[in-house]
Amino acid sequence: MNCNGHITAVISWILQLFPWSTPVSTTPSSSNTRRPGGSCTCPEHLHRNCTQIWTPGKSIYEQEKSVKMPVQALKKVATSQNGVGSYILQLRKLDFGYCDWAGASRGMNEFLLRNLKQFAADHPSVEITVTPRPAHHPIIRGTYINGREKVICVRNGTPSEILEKCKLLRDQSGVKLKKIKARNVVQSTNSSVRGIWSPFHAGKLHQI
Amino acid sequence: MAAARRTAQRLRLNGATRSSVFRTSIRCNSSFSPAFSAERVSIEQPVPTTSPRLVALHARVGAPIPVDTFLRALNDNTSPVVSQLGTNSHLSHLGSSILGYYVSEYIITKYPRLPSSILKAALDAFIGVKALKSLAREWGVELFQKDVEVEKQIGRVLFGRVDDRIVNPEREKGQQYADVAAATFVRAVIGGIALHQDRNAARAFIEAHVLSRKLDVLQLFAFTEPNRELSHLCKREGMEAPVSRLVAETGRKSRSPVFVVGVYSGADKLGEGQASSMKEAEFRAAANALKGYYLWEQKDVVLPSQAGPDYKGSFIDKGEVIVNTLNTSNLPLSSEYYVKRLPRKHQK
Repeated sequence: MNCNGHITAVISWILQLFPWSTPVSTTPSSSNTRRPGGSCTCPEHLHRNCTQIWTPGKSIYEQEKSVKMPVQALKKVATSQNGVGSYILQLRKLDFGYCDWAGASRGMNEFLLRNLKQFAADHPSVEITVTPRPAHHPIIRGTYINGREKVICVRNGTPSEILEKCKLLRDQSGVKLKKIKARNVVQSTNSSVRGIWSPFHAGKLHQI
Repeated sequence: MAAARRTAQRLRLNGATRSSVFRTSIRCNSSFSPAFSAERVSIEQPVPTTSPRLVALHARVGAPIPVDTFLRALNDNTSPVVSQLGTNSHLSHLGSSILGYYVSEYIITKYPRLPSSILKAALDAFIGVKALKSLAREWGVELFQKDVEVEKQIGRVLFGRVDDRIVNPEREKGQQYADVAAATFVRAVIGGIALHQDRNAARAFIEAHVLSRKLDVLQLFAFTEPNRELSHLCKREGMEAPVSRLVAETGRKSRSPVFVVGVYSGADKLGEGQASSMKEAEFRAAANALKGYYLWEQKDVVLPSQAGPDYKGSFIDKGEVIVNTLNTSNLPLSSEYYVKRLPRKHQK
């Protein structure tokens, strides 16, 4: 690798211009020799791509930082793919609101007494709470992992209807309902497998 | 003696620590000395492992550890109940090493030619503080709230008020201590799995929750001098020096030109780039050529940690393309700068 020759040539050019200064040593940069004086004379903020010979007192990490590679890295976070590895049920919490007096809450009261225990046992990752709401219609409030809530009023509902609503809440993901337009039906994070047509690569007929 | 036995009965240690802590440190054949055990006695009331929030979270995460350890993993060093419920720092240290090992093993065997800066960024993308914090958020983990009583917050990540400027002066800009606490929790869970089960169980958990996430390594690259880097790479590989050639163009001198430039080493085309100026197209071509080299993937790779008896080793790359550059145009021109840096005898 001829990079050492390159840098020696550059250094000798600098020394010709500024003969009274010795910013870097003329020894090859691959050998970890101490520079006379012991400290780097190039401030980091001036030389973006400067090399530094190992200087005493500096940690390896700092030295690595100062040998700037042309390829830099951008900061990103890997995105989740729920279901590819593990699956996390998006429903976090179900809160059942009932009323002892209201007639509309009769079905809810029966549900709480009969069906709720089995439903809770079937879904251990869902936190279930029961809250009295006096003189109000019975509700089911679902809280999702994305922080959104969905409330369903189950007035005059039978226990089986209420169970259906619980399952509905369980199966949802918590995102706001939106209309999926025909052009957005296929959604994917992967780019097209065969690529997108380009006139520059299509063949002689379309050559520009 | 009887008092010591009663105290020992009231001890509530979690899981694996129960047997080993005292027996190794006390040599006498009789039961524990009162003075020693008095230090380690925890609170009289039972540890609150029946909180619905905690139990639901434990079931959702699905880590094969008991609820006690899970509760301990939620407790940061700065938690208000750390003296009663224990801290997650030891578990977190172990989990952090395990995470680092399995994720780096995966990335390095999959992309053996990645430059070190990109490798670090990829690791950060999977197991950095931000990544683990978002993972914790996706598990539905809630963070401590100052105004609510602690008893009502069992099941949340518990941490106290911390001056981040003192504790972590090298933190990323905009990073809160809450993020670090959430990341510590995730690491502690993995450390707990490794202790309660074994490293294979920890690996399975990491594969399910961390490595199943999607990272497009292509998007991590930011080139500054791809032409220079590519020419060094070609020299190292013993290939002819790269030459850029115009492959196709249209619209020159118009409002929307398109230039397609290919970079060739001899007769082989290494990469191609398309842009609205020739310089940019050349830049993109060299960058694409470098990406093609760096992102070479080992298919059907056997990870070293899962190696069977007939493991032949993984592909090991030559290493990074070293490009020593001294950007002379940035050197200061004033003599004053150099005079200050002369050895003393030459100054003044």
